[in-house]
Amino acid sequence: MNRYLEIGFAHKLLLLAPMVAALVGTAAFMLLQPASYQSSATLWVSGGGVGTQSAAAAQADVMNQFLKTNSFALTVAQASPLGDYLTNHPDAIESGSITAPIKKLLGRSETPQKPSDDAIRTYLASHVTVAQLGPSELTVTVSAPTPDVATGTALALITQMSTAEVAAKTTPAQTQLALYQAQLADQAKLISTDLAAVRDYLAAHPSLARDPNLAATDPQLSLLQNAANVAKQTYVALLAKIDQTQSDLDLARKPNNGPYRVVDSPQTPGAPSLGKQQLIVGGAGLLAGLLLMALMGALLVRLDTTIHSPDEVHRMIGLSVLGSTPLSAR
Amino acid sequence: MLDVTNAAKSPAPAWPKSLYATPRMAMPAWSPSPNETFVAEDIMESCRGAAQHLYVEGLTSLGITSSLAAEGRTTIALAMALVLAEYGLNTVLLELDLGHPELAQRLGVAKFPGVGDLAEGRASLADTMRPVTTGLSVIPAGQTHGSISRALRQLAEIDLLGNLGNQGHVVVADLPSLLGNSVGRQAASLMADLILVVRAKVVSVTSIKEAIEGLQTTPRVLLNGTNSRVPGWARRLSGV
Repeated sequence: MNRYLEIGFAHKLLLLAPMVAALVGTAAFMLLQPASYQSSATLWVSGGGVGTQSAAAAQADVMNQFLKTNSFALTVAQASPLGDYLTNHPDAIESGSITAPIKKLLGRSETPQKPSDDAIRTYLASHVTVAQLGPSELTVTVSAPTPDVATGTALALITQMSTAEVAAKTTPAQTQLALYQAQLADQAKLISTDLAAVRDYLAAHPSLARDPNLAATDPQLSLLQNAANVAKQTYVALLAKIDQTQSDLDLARKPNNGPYRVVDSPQTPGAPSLGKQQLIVGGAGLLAGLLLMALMGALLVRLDTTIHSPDEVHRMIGLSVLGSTPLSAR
Repeated sequence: MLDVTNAAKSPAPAWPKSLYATPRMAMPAWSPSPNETFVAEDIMESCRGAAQHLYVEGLTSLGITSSLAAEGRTTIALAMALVLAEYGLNTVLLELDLGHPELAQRLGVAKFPGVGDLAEGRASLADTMRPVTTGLSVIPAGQTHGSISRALRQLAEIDLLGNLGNQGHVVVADLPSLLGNSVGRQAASLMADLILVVRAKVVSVTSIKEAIEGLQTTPRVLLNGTNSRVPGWARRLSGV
């Protein structure tokens, strides 16, 4: 250990050189990256969690799943300035690649072109962070090249997320409603048929119409009337179900009954911030610098064949030691 | 020209049985402060410790050499000579690094005549010896008109070391480095005992092994400059 320290402090500049080079390279790469603005919203998730998962964690999972779908990403991009920005700046899609800073350095610009759905989804997923603050609270952060795009995308994201989730929740009820309505139409026809049968039977047996006592004892008429009554009751029951389902749908669609409530709306950022990618690049640069420094240290120790202390003399050159002087006599 | 054999007028003092048996404080002539004029006290202290490992009873000539230049030979040679003089030995510091003389300037004595002049017959031993402090004289390099190798051969022919020994002197010689010149080994071969000064953390083991290969006398090592470059805070942190 002492030998490592001695060599390290004796070659401070050599040890620091790779670290400085790595940091300078990282800083240059980060400077060539486009500016990143962040806009965040805080959401309060209503309802309970799923199993052992808190409400916020469950909601974060749902959001992340939506972010993985092309249709959702496309809707958000169209409802925000992001779509136009990506069309006018196709190089923004490539900003994560190693070639992007080189192209920027060379001054190459690309003509506007509509990005693919996949590209938009990938871009959005890599620029949105959903983080849980507490059991019912989470933040949604959007990183974008301009403040307006960041805020607009965050707003569109929250709105579309709520819409998509409400739509997902109301779809089964809507299907149910359509089924009930179809059944109601069928039931209406059935009632008409049953009532017609009663009318036809009474027309064929006029005595029954004139004498209620006789009619009450006629088994066939009773059968036909019962069938008509059952059809009416079913119709009424279906109507009640349709009313209930419609009421549930209206309730679910009310703005206050969304999956979450916006506690803090996204604000327009005033200054650029370090994006996730830049932080990763910075961390990687620092790590690479430390690794290079350790490699340089190991190399210096390996190449060092000098004697550092009296107890090394006999082992390294086989001579006996008279003594040592701490200060260098020159 | 003065008579070489009568150069030392005073009789040689009795040699100590060992340096352990000769406490420094008991020596009337010992006084540490003047020596610090020539060599730093901590180097002196290190050389006092090193001298305790020498077989003083049989010590006649002690050459101070090194593998490469600038390893601290001259300072160590001066310090060893001062230490032996402190212990009461009648010591002569002989500058055999004729190519790079510096003792005269460091000790503030005349540069000429010296070893070169003695070897080439221009001066006697008495002319060349200059007292430095109690028990210590120096013979500086002087001037060498011919080759250094030839001068060293002539020194061997006139048996300078033998003569000095006969007069009761212990010779401490500042030798040339063993590598990088042709006379290092030749000068080292004149000496009965050798100290190899090794500059810690600077000279590679390969150079040292190359330097000591083929030496007639196995040298003992004095490691120079072992002070740590590691700051106190780093030592405390690492627990070294």
